[in-house]
Amino acid sequence: MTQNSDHDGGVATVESTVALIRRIRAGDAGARERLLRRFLPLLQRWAHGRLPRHVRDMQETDDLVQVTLVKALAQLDHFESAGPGAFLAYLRQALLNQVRDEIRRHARRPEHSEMDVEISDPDAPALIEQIVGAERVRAYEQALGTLPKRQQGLIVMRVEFGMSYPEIAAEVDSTPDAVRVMVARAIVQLSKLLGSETP
Amino acid sequence: MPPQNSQDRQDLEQLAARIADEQPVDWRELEKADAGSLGGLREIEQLAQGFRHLQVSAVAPKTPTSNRFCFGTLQVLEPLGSGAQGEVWRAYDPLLDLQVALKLRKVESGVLSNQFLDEGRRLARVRQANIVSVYGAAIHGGRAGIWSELVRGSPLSSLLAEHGPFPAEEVRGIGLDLCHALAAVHRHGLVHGDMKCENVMREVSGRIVLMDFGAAREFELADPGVVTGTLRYLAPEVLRGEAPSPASDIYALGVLLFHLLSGEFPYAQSEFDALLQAQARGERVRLRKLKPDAPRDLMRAIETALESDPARRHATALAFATALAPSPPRAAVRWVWPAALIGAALLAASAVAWRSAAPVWQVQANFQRVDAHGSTQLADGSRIAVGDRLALQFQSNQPVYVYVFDDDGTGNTGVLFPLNGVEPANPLAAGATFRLPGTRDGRALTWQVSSAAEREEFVVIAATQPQAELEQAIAGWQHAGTATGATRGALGLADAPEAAEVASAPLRRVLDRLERNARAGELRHWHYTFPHAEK
Repeated sequence: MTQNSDHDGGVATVESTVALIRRIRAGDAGARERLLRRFLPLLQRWAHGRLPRHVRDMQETDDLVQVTLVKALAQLDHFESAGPGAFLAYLRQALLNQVRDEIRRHARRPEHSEMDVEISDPDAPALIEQIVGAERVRAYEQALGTLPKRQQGLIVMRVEFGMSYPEIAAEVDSTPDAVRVMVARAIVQLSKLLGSETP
Repeated sequence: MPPQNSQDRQDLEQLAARIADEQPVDWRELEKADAGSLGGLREIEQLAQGFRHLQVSAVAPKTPTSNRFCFGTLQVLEPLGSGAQGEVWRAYDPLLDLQVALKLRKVESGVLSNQFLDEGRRLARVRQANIVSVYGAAIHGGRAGIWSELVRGSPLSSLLAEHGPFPAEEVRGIGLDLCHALAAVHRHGLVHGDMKCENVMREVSGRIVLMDFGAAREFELADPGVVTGTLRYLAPEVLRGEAPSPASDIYALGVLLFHLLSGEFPYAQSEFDALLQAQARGERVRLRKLKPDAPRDLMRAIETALESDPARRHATALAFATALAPSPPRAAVRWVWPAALIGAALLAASAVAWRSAAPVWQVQANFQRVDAHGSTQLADGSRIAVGDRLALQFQSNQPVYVYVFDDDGTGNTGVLFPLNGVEPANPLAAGATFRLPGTRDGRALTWQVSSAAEREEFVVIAATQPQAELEQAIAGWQHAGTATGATRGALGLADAPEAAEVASAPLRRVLDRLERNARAGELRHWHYTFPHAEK
């Protein structure tokens, strides 16, 4: 069946995130809206895979992401840009922290005390941990955190968010071909960190 | 951490790029690389697959909520495009947890829902890396829909319009991918029927994907007289009303590659009658006039695909691939036929006459793959897999002595026919159609692929006289299995015009011995090479 691209054509007209952040800092409410619209669906889907089952209710996840994103935008002044693409990595980290808080909060909820122990278990695995194993995810997070912010952003955008090279190129103000090479190099760097821990 | 030279670094980066591109990685080929980095890359591959499973969609700034509706369990998100029969939507499948392309039948399309769903049924049978994967088909609320993988990228037609003709080596690469896609389609007894630039996508990762099987059909059931497809890509015989065939797909692929390389079409005419007349008059534009600097082997491969006479085109999609491949390394072992034979009609027919064949002897041999649903004729170059059951359909208008051998390239050479205790025995009676190996105790037998070799060679010899010397020579060879239907050996089929090159030394000796034997009588032989399907 014929499909037409819904990506390649749009990339050229997408404002870069850096430009949007600049406008938001200058008080442009429209830019804030556009940034929210851009990242909300992406982060909502991502967070869905990062939450354990009992807090994965779609509405709850969406609320969580929205709150995190709004908070992050409110604190933009504290965000020190480490280059294009870093904002998404920053958002992801903020969300990851929020997700962990949420899991702990859920575990403390009194109404859960009478429920199945497994359901209220704060260590219950997230979807991604169920798929590839919690230990692997932890090692990955640790190694990722030691990479330069720009490389973190590239890996997160490509591997975790599944963004296409043209989309990433628009984010980091580069070309798809150059992004492909940069992503590969970032992965090699990450692999060395992970490899040194692999027996 | 051991120091890395620049080659190692490049290798690792290429590997990392494959992981990022969601391409499979053959770890077995990478034993020499730094073990630590490889271990890390394996970890990342696992993680990447996990994330892909959860895959988030790319940033989608425009998703008009007014368009949203449901088709069964699918949440339909936004329109992607429209064709004659259906419209294509981006949709989310919550059960698979991924985005899909949903093609919904247009109410005004004029095709029945069942006809529309046939596309899904046909396509679901074919799984190949360069063919779009179908996930499901259903009718909901009176509307038929087929959903498949969401291919992110651009049609070749758009890339051509934006950037102009493709570089020669890129055309070659695209051609090779599409040849393998077509080979898979043809292996399932289907023809695509509408191969064109608009129906081939290049994903962001570079993967080439053949789409749109709306015109596909079983070629044996295709209805002659009904012309489907896109005019400039239609082979002359299809334009004249013949049913589409693998040969017409090969022609269309030739047009596509011609177009990618030059930006032009082989015939300038775009109207039905004018095109038909131009084809009849042979007014084809030659590639070398448009692209004098393009590699000659590439041009030759494309021009051969565009021959008006289907018999003069590449015999199969895999033969086309072989012609497109950049100067393949020659096999280490080659057998050169005696010079006296080279002038014979070796290239003209799959059956090679060793002596001046009297026109009265007509003999046919066709391999078939046999399964619970019946049998499928194996095309040239078909890949076969362990477990496949094969048979040879054989017919001659004279009594004939038949010998069938195979060699898996690892030193196992065996006799597949004749077999003790198996009917028929030599000579096979004239006029009847036999399915070899035959029957034992009334039970039909097949040859079952059981070897894990990479390929097998298969030689069939037919003689009008008994071959006592041959039988004596092969008496000590391993004979095909004693279990019902099972023998050793694994075969892919290549009805090679260059059948003179037999790699197997024992089989070469057999053929050589026969060729030298003046009393051998009239002989024919067929030589096939069968690659194994990838596991």
